[in-house]
Amino acid sequence: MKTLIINGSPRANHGNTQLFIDHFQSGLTQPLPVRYVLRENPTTLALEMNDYDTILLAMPLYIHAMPGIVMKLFEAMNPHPTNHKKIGFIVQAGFIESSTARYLENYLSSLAHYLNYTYLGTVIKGDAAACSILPHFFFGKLFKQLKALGAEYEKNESFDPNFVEKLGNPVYLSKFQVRLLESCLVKKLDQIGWNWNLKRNGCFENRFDQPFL
Amino acid sequence: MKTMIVREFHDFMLPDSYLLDLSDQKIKGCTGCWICWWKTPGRCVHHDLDLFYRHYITSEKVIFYLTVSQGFISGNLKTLFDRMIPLFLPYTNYTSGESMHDKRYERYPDIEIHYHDTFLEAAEKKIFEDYLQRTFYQFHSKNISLTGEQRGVRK
Ligand SMILES: Cc1cc2nc3c(=O)[nH]c(=O)nc-3n(C[C@H](O)[C@H](O)[C@H](O)COP(=O)(O)O)c2cc1C
Repeated sequence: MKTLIINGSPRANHGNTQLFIDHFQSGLTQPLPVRYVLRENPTTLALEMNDYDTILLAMPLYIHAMPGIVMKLFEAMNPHPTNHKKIGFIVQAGFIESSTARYLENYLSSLAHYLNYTYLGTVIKGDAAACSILPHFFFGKLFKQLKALGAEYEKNESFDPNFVEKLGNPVYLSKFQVRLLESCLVKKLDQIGWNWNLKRNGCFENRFDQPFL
Repeated sequence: MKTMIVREFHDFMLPDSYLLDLSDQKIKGCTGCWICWWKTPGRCVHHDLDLFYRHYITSEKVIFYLTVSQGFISGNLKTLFDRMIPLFLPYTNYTSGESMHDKRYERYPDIEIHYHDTFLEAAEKKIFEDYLQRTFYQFHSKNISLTGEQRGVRK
């Protein structure tokens, strides 16, 4: 069975999606080929995807769905004449709760059905925006889970529901989490990264600019 | 009332309103660089949408005429949505019980969407409509309406 991994991030191999793919691959005995939507013509890539039995498409969540470049790839895909093909998705996002990717997940499952692929499911992980910025130890647990997800995939050619559930937590924010996130201290922590970058670029004072009014 | 039109089909036009015709303008892709949030707050590195941004946040209403593509919004429209991130702040609030980006501008337009209804199943149509409702809710628009028109063949 031949599997192709596709990276759907506009940041290609420089972003968080790549880190997810690398850690997933670290659980495999044989590394899988990876293609980058950003660098490909969608029609050519869609055709070449037919040479594989299984497609694993990893991408960041962009405005509650797939990045524009990934939608252009989907537009280039046609329903497969046999029903032997499989497709699974790995979505990582900035917001904490995985429910924000529910709209995309619903679409991906419907698309797989329309394209005549067996749907392997969608792995969703929130709170991932800083994983290629912060030191490794902040995300050690996540990386271990991705490695295990990869190892299980190689054994069973499916996503282990156990890891899918773990990675998808929390699905919603609890009332307690909301209160905590809205508290002054946590709010400040939440803003540290953005403010640090704004200051580094000398534009902290302009952070609330309204250039189009 | 100041109105803007974004269209992928139809030749509908209003006098004195700004038109973004997606059928002949290919929107440049978001590069995920975050420059619009941490280097030039509110401005994208690309400038093909500067007029769109100006009209979007100064319009009371934006009317969309959309095609359905592979059961979803087109890649070109999705690219436009990705590029709308500079209209909001990087900071997140949780007051609604969910994560949501803070407003950069005081007000955002009402949204009226007309789409070319080529859905085969009610479930698919729900995915499309739920997504658009959700997106403009997160974009801080207060009134959002959706109407499917001109049933046709799925593309
Ligand atoms: C234009 C844009 C839109 C985004 N929209 C969302 C969103 O709707 N929900 C979310 O949780 N994260 C959103 N994010 C955050 C990304 O999903 C997150 O930063 C991700 O880790 C980026 O992955 P990458 O580095 O592989 O591109 C968005 C990021 C960008 C640049």
